[in-house]
Amino acid sequence: MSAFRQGTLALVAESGRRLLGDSLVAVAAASALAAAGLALAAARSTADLGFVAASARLWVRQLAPLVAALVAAARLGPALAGELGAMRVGDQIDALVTLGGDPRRQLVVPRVIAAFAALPALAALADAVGLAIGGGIAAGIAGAPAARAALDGFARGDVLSGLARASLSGVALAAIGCALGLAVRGGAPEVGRAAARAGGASLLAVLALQLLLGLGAPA
Amino acid sequence: MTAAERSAPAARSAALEWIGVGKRVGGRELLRDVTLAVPRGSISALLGARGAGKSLLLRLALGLERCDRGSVALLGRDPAGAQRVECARLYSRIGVVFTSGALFGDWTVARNVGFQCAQVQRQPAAEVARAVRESLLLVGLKQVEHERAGALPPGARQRVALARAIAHRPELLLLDDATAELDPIGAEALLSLVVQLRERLGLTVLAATREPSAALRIADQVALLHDGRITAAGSADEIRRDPDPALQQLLGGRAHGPIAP
Repeated sequence: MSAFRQGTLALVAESGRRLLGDSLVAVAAASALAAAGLALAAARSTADLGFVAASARLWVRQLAPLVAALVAAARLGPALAGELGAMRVGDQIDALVTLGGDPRRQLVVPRVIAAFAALPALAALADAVGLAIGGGIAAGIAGAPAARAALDGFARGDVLSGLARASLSGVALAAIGCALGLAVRGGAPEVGRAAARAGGASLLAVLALQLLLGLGAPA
Repeated sequence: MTAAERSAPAARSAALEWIGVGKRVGGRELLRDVTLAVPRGSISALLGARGAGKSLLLRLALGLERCDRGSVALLGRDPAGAQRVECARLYSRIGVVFTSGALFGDWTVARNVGFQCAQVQRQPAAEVARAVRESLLLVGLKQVEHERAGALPPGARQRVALARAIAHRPELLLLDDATAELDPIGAEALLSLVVQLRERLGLTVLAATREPSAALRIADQVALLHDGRITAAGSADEIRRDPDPALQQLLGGRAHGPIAP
């Protein structure tokens, strides 16, 4: 493998590892809470197992990717804006340019690829935790048929659709964080401001993306 | 005589040249009609107090900023007006050491030093490794390839930055206050290395610095940037004798004078 590919893959792996490490516990906890709430509502409010199945489908298609993206939005956008902003302030971006490098290709693209790959992993974790907690609660309240209804309530296509949504969110979050980081001019206070702006912009982007992809549509 | 005519003889032998350069930043005119040439094969020093505009002048030379007036010739080309490919080709002929080293702290030393060879020139891994080893040896570093660059002490970091700047064997080496964050011993060691490298690699060197002693010790020619202009220029001996008040204040390290503390 060429040194170029090695370097790029190392950056992708490094960025992905950092994102996953930061977010695994938060995604698991948020998924457990959200799924528990959903399962309680679904199992208590109606004896109709179809509602339980629809909730499970809603979870894997839309809510699990949303939980993963919201957790990542709180961390990924600000982290990337801070990281690239600090590189701007610390002259690393200029150094890279004067070495003939391209910051977009060498710094942004690996991070976007890492987010594209890491967000589905977070969404898959949210799927698993949510179904386990939600299915368990539904079974506890409405018996084993409720748990079976939850597991039978979605197809592989629903899971893949959710993972694809998560990937798109990852691309958007990484792009926002990197763009705001590269745009930093000035000193350390500007880096802090860019990180804060990236946090807000990331949350808005995730919500807008979910709306665009049909969060409002019935599962 | 126009600025272009005045600079014509210099242009033929200059590795880097600013011609009538002016630049405003945030409403302040930081550079006014700066004309300066760095002869090929020389070590030149651009002396100036903190905030005098030395880094800005280098940034203009590198095409990282655009001049409001005048022009720049970096190895005969203005990088600000060049296409990306041409710019990359131009950058492959220069090396830059920034004040803080500007290394990627999370990367290994080898990845930092071999960046241009690997990521830009896309050389095979074995050649990159060889270039890294040789460059590190040239700056007196051994067996640090696999260390994290950010974990090195400041003196070693600047040496790694110097190794990165010469790894692709440039013609022109630019130092932007490269010793400003080093202790006196580290600064002296780095400057000695630069002088040795000029001899061994046939480099042209421009060192922007606020340290008059460093400038006078290593440079064939020194220019003082003050109040947005080159107010004094010449050999080290000429500079020592120059009555320019800003220069004398800087040389004498005095608090009172035209340079505000």
